[in-house]
Amino acid sequence: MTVLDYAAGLFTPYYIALMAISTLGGIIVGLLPGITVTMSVGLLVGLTFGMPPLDALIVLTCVFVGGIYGGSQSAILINVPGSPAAAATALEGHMMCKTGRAGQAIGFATISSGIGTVFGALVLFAVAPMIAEFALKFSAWEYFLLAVLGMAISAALCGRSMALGLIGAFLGVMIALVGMDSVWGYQRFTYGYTDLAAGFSFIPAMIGLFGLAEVLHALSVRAGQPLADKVGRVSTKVADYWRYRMAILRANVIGVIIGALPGVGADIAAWVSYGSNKQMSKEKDQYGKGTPEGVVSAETANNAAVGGTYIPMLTLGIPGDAVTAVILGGMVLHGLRPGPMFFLESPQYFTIIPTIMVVSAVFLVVFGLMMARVTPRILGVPAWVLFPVVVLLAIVGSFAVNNRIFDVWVMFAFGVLGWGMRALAIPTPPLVLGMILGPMADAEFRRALSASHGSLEPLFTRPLSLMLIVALILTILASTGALRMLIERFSRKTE
Amino acid sequence: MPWRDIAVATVMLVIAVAAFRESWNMPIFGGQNLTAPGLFPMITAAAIGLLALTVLIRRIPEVLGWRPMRPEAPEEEIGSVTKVIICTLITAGAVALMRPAGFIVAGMFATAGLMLAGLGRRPNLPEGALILGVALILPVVMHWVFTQIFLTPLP
Repeated sequence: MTVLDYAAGLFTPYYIALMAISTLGGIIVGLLPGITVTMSVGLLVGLTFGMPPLDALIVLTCVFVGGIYGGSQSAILINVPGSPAAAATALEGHMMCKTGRAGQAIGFATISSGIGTVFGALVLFAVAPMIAEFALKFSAWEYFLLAVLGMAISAALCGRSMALGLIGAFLGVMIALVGMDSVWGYQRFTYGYTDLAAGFSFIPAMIGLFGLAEVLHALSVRAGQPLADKVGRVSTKVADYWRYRMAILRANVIGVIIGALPGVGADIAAWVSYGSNKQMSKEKDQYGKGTPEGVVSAETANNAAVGGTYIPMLTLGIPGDAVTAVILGGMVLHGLRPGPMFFLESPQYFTIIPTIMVVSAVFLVVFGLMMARVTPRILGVPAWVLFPVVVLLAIVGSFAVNNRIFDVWVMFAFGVLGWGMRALAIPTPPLVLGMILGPMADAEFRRALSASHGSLEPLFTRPLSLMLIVALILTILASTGALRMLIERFSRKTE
Repeated sequence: MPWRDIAVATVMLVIAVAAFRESWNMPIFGGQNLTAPGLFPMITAAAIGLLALTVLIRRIPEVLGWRPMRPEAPEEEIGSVTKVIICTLITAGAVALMRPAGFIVAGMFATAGLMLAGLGRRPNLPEGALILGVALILPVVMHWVFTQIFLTPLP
């Protein structure tokens, strides 16, 4: 079958309807503050377990795309982003709302999100097969180093302190090591509890960390009311997008690159894009006063990051963010194994997933523009009515994975942990990445040592390993400011 | 913030020491046993311990005034901790009720409790009716949807 055959297979009434409904569902959950995209995808992984793998992948991907966009509407209307990825949108979008341009802000956010999603999908389609082929050259040492590098990058970029980020990452590794060891079958840290023999189930942990924790936080803070009861016209002109074409291009590139970095994700992409475009804009003085360019920068980047996050997930088995971490877990449940061999075993998904994203982008634009007038009413529902629904869904979603009450307790424990980490300003993405990459690092490290008969020499003699070690050192130096000091010292010497 | 970091680092140091000790009791070395299950947990525990010490070494001088504190980013509002504790206890109660009483009863308890806790005051008549209605209907509907459509064997 050719690439076109794989893509064409999706254009049946059933799949089109599934993509439409899933994108709409994603937009609705995305716009509700307190219901995160990660939690929604986590719940859906359990609920779509009985579906065929392709159907489940369609649902999860479309909810992801819709959810990342959906947060922009609440960000614009009530200055509370529905998803963390829309936090940068709130800066300019809410200002536009205050000056009577709510409809225009939503229009810009919607079209920009569609553009970003399509760009990310095209990059995924073009680049992922190349990376997958390159990844086939990796040995166990490189996989081990890749896992460590992924955690280091996440720790460096996601928090205020790399040390705390790395503590979170290694804590995630430790949590993932609980249970039966995959090589010897030895029970680690189970203390005789049979429930712990299989370890902490990943999906309930994610539902707790990103679902229950978010609900606990949202119930405790005062929520805003929609500033605009009515949203005016949502139409925007093509000339405006031509005017902001450089910002759109920069945002697309930034979004995909940052999305592809392990454990970073759409929210960082949006902020970096906003900040970069603000620096390079000819309308710098308009930033902070409600410039559409700010909305366009943030929204294009955060949706472009969606495609970016799939690149390392599909090709290396390393998720680009928390949502793809959950989607990775879902794919494994359905018998798909993302990683270097995925391109050889299931090449059709490297066409199918970008196609799903592009179709979802079309529905995102259509539904996003249509929903703009209904959104203030949806946002008017008080949090204390909505969140018990979310908690019940979290309980059901956690139970549905393995039909165990123990998993519901895991969800609860991680929910409390997630709220605590948020209260202490410790980033959670490194913890998630540690839980995903820890077992991989453990297995590959031991495999590598076994193959080299206990010698660490290949770590330093293999060119790919050396490259990854250099990247690791540069990441640590950059995050501690030491790299900047070295560069400044070197510049002074050469002057 | 420095006190919080010191507290976190101390707790993590204790966890690291406990994990390291537990790993020490696992098979680690012995001839070719570099692939033994205790090695990686031991390395991870050591890494956590060292990182925690790094945080302590950086923060304690700041708290004691020996070193100026670095400017910190503004903290996110964490809201009412009392409400969080109440909601946590209600959720824990609901999960504990699932096995003996079933999902519907546990769901009714969680819904009513969380709605009241989220409201944060005595409800008036319409709010009370809404809470009662949602608490009675929502768990039943959810139970039906998930057991009949998604075939989840909820208790």
